[in-house]
Amino acid sequence: MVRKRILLVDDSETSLMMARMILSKANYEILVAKDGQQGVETAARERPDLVLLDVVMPRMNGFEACAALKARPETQGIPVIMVTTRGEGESVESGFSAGASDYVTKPVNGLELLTKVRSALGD
Amino acid sequence: MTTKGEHDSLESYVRRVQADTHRYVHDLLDENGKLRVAAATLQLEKARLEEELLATRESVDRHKLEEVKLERRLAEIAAENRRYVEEYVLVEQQNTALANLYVASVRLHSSLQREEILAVIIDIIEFLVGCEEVAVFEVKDGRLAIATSKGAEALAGADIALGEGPIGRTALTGQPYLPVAPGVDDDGITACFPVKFRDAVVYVITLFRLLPQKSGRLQPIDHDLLNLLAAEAGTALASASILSASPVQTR
Repeated sequence: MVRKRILLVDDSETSLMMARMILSKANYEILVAKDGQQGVETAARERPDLVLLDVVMPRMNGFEACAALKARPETQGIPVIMVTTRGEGESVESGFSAGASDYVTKPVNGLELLTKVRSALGD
Repeated sequence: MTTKGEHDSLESYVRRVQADTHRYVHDLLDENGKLRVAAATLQLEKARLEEELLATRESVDRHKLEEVKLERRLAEIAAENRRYVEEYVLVEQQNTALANLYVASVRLHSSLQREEILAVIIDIIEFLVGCEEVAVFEVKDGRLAIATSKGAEALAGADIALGEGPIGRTALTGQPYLPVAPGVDDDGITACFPVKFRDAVVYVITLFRLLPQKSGRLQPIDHDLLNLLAAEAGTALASASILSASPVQTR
């Protein structure tokens, strides 16, 4: 069976390691990018099944990266889950406006992340 | 006296009546026989139906019993299912907690540079504990000064004496500080954890405001993580200090 690929975009090595541990255990293949710009480029090149996008990042923040992904024909169909530090309305609203399908808040809860990832991937 | 003609007529009448009577009796007997057969058939049918009814009742009773058993089994399975879901949630929570501890430990020992280790401590507290205002104080010459912070820039230049306030007391006693009531204290502090090396407090991690999704209080998993930080960060920072003082430096 082909493993689904998830692109993690986050500038925090700690957050990346945590998300990688949770998702690898559930048999997903993990790709990594360290900022929004790199995330958009990697998504266009690798065409992952899902993108997990941190909000606060250098070069291009998560909302801008999400909007860029949705503007490009080759990546616009890829579901995006925003990973926000603040779960308040404004952050969430900005994520959905940029085209995100869902969001999770940090600190990431493993079960919540897996549930939302599976739902976004239709697993 | 009757005449012969009258006698014949009477005799003929009697014979006719006898014949009618005989036919009538025969018909009655015939009808009676048919009715007996019909009654017997009905009796048989009744007996068969009663038997069938009894069998149906027994079957209904059996099915009712089966239904009760199935409902009970269904309730057992539903309860079992709930237990499995609860266990699954618990296992996933434990997995997350273990992953947190593992990631924190690996990240703490991923560098031998003091500044990088301090950045990792902030990273861990921000993203694994969920605190948006944090400061790490270094104990030096009997006083505490900020080594690094995030979201607590107002504290820059703070100079705290050992034993002064919750931060100074944590450094002096080596015991974590948690406000009496869960949440922040009057100084806006959520918790202070001592970072030790060989039983000596070398740093104090101070958590101010938690992220809104933390509902203002630390969870058991956070305490585990902070205790690990208190133990491991001291070793990592001491190793960095020793290395920086050494003529051979490795990155």
